[in-house]
Amino acid sequence: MTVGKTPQRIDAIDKVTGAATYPADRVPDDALHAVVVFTNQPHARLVDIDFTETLSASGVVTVVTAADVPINEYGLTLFDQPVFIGLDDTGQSSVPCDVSRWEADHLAVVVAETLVQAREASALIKAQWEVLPLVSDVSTAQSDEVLVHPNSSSNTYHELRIRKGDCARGMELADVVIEDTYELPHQEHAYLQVEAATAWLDDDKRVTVETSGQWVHEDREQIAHALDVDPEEVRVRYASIGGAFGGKEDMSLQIVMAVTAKKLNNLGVMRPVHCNWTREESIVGHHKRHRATVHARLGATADGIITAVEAEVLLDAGAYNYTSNKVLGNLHLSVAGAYDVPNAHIDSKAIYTHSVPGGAFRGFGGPQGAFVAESQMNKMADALGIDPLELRSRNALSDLSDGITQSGLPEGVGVNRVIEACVEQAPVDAPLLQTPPFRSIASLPPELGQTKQGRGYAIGMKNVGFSFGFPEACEADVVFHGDPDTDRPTRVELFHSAAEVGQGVHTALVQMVADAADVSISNIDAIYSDTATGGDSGSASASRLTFMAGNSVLGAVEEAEKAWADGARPAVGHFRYKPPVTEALDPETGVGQPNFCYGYMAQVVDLTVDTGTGHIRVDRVLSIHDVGRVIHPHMLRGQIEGAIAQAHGYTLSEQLVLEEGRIQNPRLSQYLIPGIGDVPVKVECLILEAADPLGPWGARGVSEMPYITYAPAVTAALHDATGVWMNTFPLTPSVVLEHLTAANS
Amino acid sequence: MTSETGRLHESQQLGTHIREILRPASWVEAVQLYEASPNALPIAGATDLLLDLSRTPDPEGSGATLLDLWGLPDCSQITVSDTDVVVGCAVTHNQIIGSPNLDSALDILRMACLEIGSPQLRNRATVVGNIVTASPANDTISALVALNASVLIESVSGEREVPISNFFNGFRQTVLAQSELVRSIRIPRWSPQTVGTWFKVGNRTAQAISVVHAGIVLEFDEATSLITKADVAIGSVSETISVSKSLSEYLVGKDLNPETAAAAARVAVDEISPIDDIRATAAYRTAVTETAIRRALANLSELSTSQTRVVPLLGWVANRPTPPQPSLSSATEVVCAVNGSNVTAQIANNSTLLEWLRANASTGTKEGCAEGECGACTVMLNGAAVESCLVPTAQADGASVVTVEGLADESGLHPVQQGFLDEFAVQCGFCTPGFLVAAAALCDENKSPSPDEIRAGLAGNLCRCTGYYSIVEALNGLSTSRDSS
Repeated sequence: MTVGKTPQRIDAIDKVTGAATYPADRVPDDALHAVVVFTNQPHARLVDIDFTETLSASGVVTVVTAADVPINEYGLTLFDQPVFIGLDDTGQSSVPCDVSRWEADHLAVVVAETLVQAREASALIKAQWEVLPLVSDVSTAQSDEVLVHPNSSSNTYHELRIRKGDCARGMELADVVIEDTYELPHQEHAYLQVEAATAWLDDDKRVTVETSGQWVHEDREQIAHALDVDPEEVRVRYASIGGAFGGKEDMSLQIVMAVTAKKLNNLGVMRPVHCNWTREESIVGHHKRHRATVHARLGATADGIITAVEAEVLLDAGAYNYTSNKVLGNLHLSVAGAYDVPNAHIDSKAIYTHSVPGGAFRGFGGPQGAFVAESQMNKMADALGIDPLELRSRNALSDLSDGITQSGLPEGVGVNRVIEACVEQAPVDAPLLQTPPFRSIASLPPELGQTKQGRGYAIGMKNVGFSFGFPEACEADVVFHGDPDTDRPTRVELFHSAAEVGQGVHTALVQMVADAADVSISNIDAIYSDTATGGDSGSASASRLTFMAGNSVLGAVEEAEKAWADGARPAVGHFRYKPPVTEALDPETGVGQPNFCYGYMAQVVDLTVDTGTGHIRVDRVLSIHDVGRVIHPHMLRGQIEGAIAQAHGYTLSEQLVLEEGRIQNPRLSQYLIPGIGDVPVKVECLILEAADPLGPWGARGVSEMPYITYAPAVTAALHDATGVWMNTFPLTPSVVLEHLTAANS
Repeated sequence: MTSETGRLHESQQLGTHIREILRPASWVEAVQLYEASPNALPIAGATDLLLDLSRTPDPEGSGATLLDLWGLPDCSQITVSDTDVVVGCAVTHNQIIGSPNLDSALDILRMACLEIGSPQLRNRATVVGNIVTASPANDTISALVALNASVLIESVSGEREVPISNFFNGFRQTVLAQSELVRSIRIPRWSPQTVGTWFKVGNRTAQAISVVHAGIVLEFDEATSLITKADVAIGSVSETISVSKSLSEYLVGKDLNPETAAAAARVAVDEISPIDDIRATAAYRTAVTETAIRRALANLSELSTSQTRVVPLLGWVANRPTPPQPSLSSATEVVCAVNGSNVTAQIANNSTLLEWLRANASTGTKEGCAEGECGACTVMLNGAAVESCLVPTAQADGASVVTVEGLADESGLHPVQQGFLDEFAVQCGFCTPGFLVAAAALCDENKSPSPDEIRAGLAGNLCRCTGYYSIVEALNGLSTSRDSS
């Protein structure tokens, strides 16, 4: 058996020797070089454009524009974004193409012999713009005086409601009502590998794009739609992927590079074309974790029973939808927490503005929702004088709960399991970890009495897999090889499209095939992430691949076993796993079954704050997870530690600055992700294994869960240390000191 | 409604290319070359200048000429005499860090060097470079001002010495005239009754631009223990850095105790004029300056000497080949021993070592930021770990380079590679090559680094997947595995 063991990652040798190649490492010798020119206009109408000088510049081969895109629109869930802004589009777009709504809207692709030539020629584009009034945030947007999308009657383009019980009555029954407004910040993914792609027409005349993303088949679908061709005429494959975290789920270079390759072919230029964004282009040019404003009220009786939850969620979608409607759904579900809420009134709105689009990022709305829900619960515990874990325990969802969407929950609800583990491992009265003095200024010891310690708790749950009725399935193909007279296959091939973004799924799937087919890992050849060879796996997102891809390979192995038993050599097994169907929520009441599986988590954070400088050191995190079943303990631990580090940056240091729709700090020297000396001093993991009834070997997913509860656990610990509640973050020293000072004056 | 002519997004504009690099063989030749080419830009480690060039548009496309002072034999020493310490213009931050306890005054400068950038950056960046850039955020300036250092300036018409407090004319401006080069910095040695310290407040433990930094040097009367001289220089809170006069006046004649420290800190903040910026508000800078000055003075009242921290250098002790070619342009072929094999290729458009390596020798070396921030491009250059995105290709001519591809040998993987495998310190793998080269340099220097030394040694490498815990474990003992809780 390899499941539950720690075999070496199948990609690790190549990654430690430098042999692994990422998209920018695979530039063919004869490749042309492309620059995707941004409009540099958060809101402006294109009046005139002239490429004459660009086209005659040294080394330039062609310029690709809106005219080259048969259907000039894209979007994962809504076609609301032009591939290019231009004046000469084909008219086949559902969205006006002459208006730039985002500073990084695409104006053209300039193709030249060298990158320097392409950049020089890009500067020669002559564009004339009529600058239009800017909708810079949701409060401006809500007046609808300026519409970001004239095709939409309001900037508030997607709304969700929950109407459960009688919220007003529930608030009346409450002895204490906690009411606050929370401001949740943007976050940049900051994967180390920025976007890059190479495109060409392969021997079968398929437009081929080699890049790094999260779902080869969705990339192919989006490309095919824009090119107005059958998806079979398009091929997408992934090189090694240098991190994604949701940031590569949406389109960056995929469509424009496919269009460019096709145009070059039409011009008779049979050469591949390569594009590699700079870090600045990446930060300016791709979506972010959404910023949001949430106003929330939580009512409870004196003995700590929740009577009602009320919330209004305003999600800044930015200029285009991306996956905002789905992120909104997740935030909407999680803003009431993992609790039995008898009465609820929740209005959630996704709102267009001219800021950077919000989109997928680890947790997908869950972190914003959990920050509100858990901050409210921590404040309630404080107000009632009840142990925060006890308060949670009294209200925890269970298998008997009807849930916020009044349809029950998938079997195996683990909220109380993680709370009980938390009580056992880190009760409220357990002493804080003794830590060395906190030198927030490295060369100076702190002053007596200025450092304070505190502990905070947060719990939560996060769906595994796609929600709200979005088609959810995962395909796998396996081939057993061996002589007709051999008892067991001597070699097994696996064809799968699951994207290896670093999480380890390629290794986990090989483990699963090895165990299911009873062959050793060394006898398995896995061919991954190429639409030419693998079926549709769905994306590397929503913590879904362990569950979904695991079930797909189990099914495929079973099919191959049948063929093998029938004497087929090779024996082929194909399987498409479909989990229980989910539902879109009722638009008026929010009733429905949105998800088929959840992961459950609790976190305890001990921290030290220097009240003289505002610096925070997180001393210890205990992260408790019900994962169903561990597939690979070390890779599991890697997901937990990595998620916490990323959440640590979100909570403490990462501050994206936008002014008038423009990102002001698109560099890693200006946008500070945690370094090796900044992350929590110690992370402890406690893993619970209550098998999921549907998961492969009982496994659920885990990659988002440790992220989601971190920020509210930190602010609770800060409150424990200082008595100050923070309703916004990141908790930079400047922000912390400002709040501590205000509280003391 | 306003009409506007489109312009390229700032993130997409080309900077200024390097047209030529002049590599004199001696200081005398450098001074003469600068007289002949007064528009040349002097460089040593080039870490600031390469970034400036990449961010400065060059509409004429004429490019820049650089005058390379890196590694000049008569500029790379720290010289201690009876009266002063002289730091040559090619002395790197790591060279200062690697000279603890050479002199107590120099130790104050050393404290500042310790907190600049990353080990890789400190292997290239020079102290003189830090002062000629003249940003008030530059950490060594507050140390040197408090130390009453002076700047030795030279041109063909002669030498002059300028007190560092008079060296700066304004924000990013100095008194250097045409064809004048800074040859060295002179730091007077201390009397026995002198103590000092230096501090920095930043938003990250490493790789942080200062929110505020300061150098403090105090002299005491041997008999009365009262302060006789006080030089306090605070940086990042005004356009230039100078000694705080009112603070000096306040402190002289006082007994240094916690009350004096608290009162002096209040005096200090009356004199500063900080601004709001992306790193902190003005109010924060004022408040934290008061806190830090108070702590620093209180700490000095308890300690007579500053502590000496030992920090991994990642290999600055490296020989520097004499320049084989006096002048290099994009057409010049550079010869560089990469992982033991000579690679010969034109500089062409590959003005940084990272670009040149990726085009000609090593796609294992990664670009993550192109500004010396993420460490993914770390290679060993003549034995020292450096960020190859901040090395002009011309400076690698005649050098030896080790990349991730050169770590393993016939006997198998390098121990750091094996450690990364065993501890699952690899996820997406994009930062891994830079981590491994830095780790190999760290282990060359220290066979069994402690977790703190590992964190200090790898402070210049960013990872977004692992949280770093497995990376620390991979190097901690190299063969022990983590307990699985």
